[in-house]
Amino acid sequence: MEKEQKKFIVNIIIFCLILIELIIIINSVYIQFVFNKKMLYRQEVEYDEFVKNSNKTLEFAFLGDSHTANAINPEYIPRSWSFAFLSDGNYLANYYRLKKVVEYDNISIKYVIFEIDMHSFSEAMFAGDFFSTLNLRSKYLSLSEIGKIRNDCSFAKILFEIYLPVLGQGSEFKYLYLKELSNLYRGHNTADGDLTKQPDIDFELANQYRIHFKNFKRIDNKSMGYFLKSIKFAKEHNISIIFMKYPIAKELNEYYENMNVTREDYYSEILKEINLTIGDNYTLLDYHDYLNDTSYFYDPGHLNVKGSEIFSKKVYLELIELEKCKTHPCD
Amino acid sequence: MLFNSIEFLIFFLVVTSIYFIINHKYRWRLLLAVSCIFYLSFIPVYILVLGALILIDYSMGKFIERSTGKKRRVYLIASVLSLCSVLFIFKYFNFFNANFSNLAHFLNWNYSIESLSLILPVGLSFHTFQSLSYVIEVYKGRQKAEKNLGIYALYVMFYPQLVAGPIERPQNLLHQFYEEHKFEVKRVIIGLQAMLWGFFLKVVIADRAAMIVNPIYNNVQIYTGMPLIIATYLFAFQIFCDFAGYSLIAIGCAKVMGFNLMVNFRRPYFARSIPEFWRRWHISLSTWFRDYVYIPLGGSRANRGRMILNLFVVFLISGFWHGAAWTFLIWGGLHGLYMVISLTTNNFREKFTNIIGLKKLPKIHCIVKILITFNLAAFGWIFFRANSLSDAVYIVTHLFTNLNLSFLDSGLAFNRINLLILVLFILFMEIIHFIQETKGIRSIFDKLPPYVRIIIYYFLLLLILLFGVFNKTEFIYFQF
Repeated sequence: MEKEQKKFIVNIIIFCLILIELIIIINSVYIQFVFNKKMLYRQEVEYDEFVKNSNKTLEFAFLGDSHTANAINPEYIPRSWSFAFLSDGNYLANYYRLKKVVEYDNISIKYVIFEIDMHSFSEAMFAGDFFSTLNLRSKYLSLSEIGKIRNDCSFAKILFEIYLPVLGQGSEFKYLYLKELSNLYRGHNTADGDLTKQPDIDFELANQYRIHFKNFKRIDNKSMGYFLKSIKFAKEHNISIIFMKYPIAKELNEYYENMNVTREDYYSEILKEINLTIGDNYTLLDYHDYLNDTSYFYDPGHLNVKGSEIFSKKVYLELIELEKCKTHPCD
Repeated sequence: MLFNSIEFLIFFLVVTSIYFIINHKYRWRLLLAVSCIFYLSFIPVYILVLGALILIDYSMGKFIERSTGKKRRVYLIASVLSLCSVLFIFKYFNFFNANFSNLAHFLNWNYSIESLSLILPVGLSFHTFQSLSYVIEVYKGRQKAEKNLGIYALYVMFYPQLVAGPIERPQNLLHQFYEEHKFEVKRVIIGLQAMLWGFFLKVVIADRAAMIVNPIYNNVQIYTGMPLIIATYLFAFQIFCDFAGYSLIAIGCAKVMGFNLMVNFRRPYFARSIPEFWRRWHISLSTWFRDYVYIPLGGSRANRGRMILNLFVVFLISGFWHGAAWTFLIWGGLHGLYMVISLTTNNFREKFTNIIGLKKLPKIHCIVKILITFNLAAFGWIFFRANSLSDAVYIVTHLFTNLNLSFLDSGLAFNRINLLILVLFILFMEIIHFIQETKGIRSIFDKLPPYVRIIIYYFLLLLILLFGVFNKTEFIYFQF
């Protein structure tokens, strides 16, 4: 090899080493100053503190997606925690979260409340880049498990996602300038807004339909499979199971009806699957049409601060009633 | 194995290293083997189809060379037919079948041929055209038939340009497989520079633009006005960056190993007319159509009426080459129409610009021409990108209704920061293109002190690593 070639190869190696160093520094800045402002990370930190400082018991654990995260405010439901996801909250993610809480953190849960909304089992729940933020999940899942879950045999990509979460996330450096963090309480996100003041409600309705149903199977095998795994897991760990249908704006209900997104067939199918998996020893709470006032909603599918307060108080009363009935049978 | 994946980077590094380590006489074997591996990483079974086509065209090339008179033509037709029939079965059968079925239904005829459920082999249209150019060139006597089957297979399968071009000519590529390429630092750097810029175009601009364009174009009915306009303009940049990015990575890869592939794009959005746009856009395909369709049809030597017809037909075929759908046909037809109008109104436009005084302001005149050409091309992209003809019609008829910016507040389809970042990157790219266009970037870049060049490399690499989209988005042209 000629001298010039050798020099070039050495230079390339030095160049790459400096690049790696640069990325590591930027990655540290990202984790230190940007990542910890993200809601998902803050949810985890808040929960980790609870695990460290509590007696590791919860009366009510809520699982689901952003519908649950916005609707359930544990401030009004004592001894509860919302484990619901603000984004990508499909039942695969929920299953592994429940598994982590029960088996990895050894939290004893009395009731687990599963979200069974109109879109909960849609194929759309897996349409995005699901099971990301691996730097958080890798704490309790092995590399091969993650690869299996993601159906991705590219371990290099997974390792990059775990150890260099900054890759591809340059736009998130905007969080450096975020002065006020939105409120978070036991996994609950306070989304303050009012659907009645939205400039284009029709667009919002169409968008909700598009995101969840257009060209997607209503009940996806993967979604249903992980849901059934989750409820089976809860049963095996003697956790009482409650299923809950969360409120959506009446405008969205009407829009869904017009678009033939029917409820009856859908829920009878789901309940059939539930009965086959765990029998009929569960409770079903239906709040689908509970809140008629549009001003309680942040957008057509999510409650705002005011709505979640009213709703959470109502849910708590219902749960207390359930508990009473467990000890002293009611009608 | 996509270019924008870690697997490819490792693959490229390993292959290139081995390539330079081993003796020259084994290099083509290595390249053929790794090209097979590269192809197998998509849909393995289709290598049999590709292998069969290679065998047929290799044999036909030899037969054509050995024969005289009518026999040569027979062999050429046999070769063209075999290539086109594979293309027809995989790409066009379902289109024709569905349209015949609709027609039969309309006329109350009984027609019951089932559609084929076949996945299109990756890059079928590209390597078919490359093979066609080989047999045609041998037939015309401008290229000797390749004696070595392995080298011919490598000509069709050379991994950097196997799945999406540039569509090479045998005169340019075949001889390069026989030449010994030394490890030349300067050439390697030029190759790596091309790859770096290609990756920037693909993962930072194209894939980021896709994040905005796809939700809108996949659900056009819920949008009107501004979102449709923005998505259409962004798609113009997405498709350019996607395809030019791929081409640059391919050219760069080959360059590192010592191969010169043809330039595929020359800053097409700086074109001042549609004919010029086509001299800058997908050059390897445009010249292919010029040499093998337009000129044999009579080209510009035919009378004016015939020439216009030829031009229109070529663009119609070019549209159909891109995809078996009415939208692509209309896209091709539209560009054919642009070309015809451009040629027939030349004198009128000259006079008009004289009358309004634009001729005296050459720079403004140039900008106006560039903007008009860009908008015409962007309008054409509506048909190219739309999922169906009805979607395209909807977009065209709703482009200018509700021209307000309220969609930015919805927060669902548009993320303001993402849009802003994307626009900044597009501006950055166009500034670079402007320098390339006016002064030539290489001469400026080479004169920079080494440390400035290194800072520029780091800057680009960091932009790619921090702002790239790494979800293995396929290249748009892979579907063709």
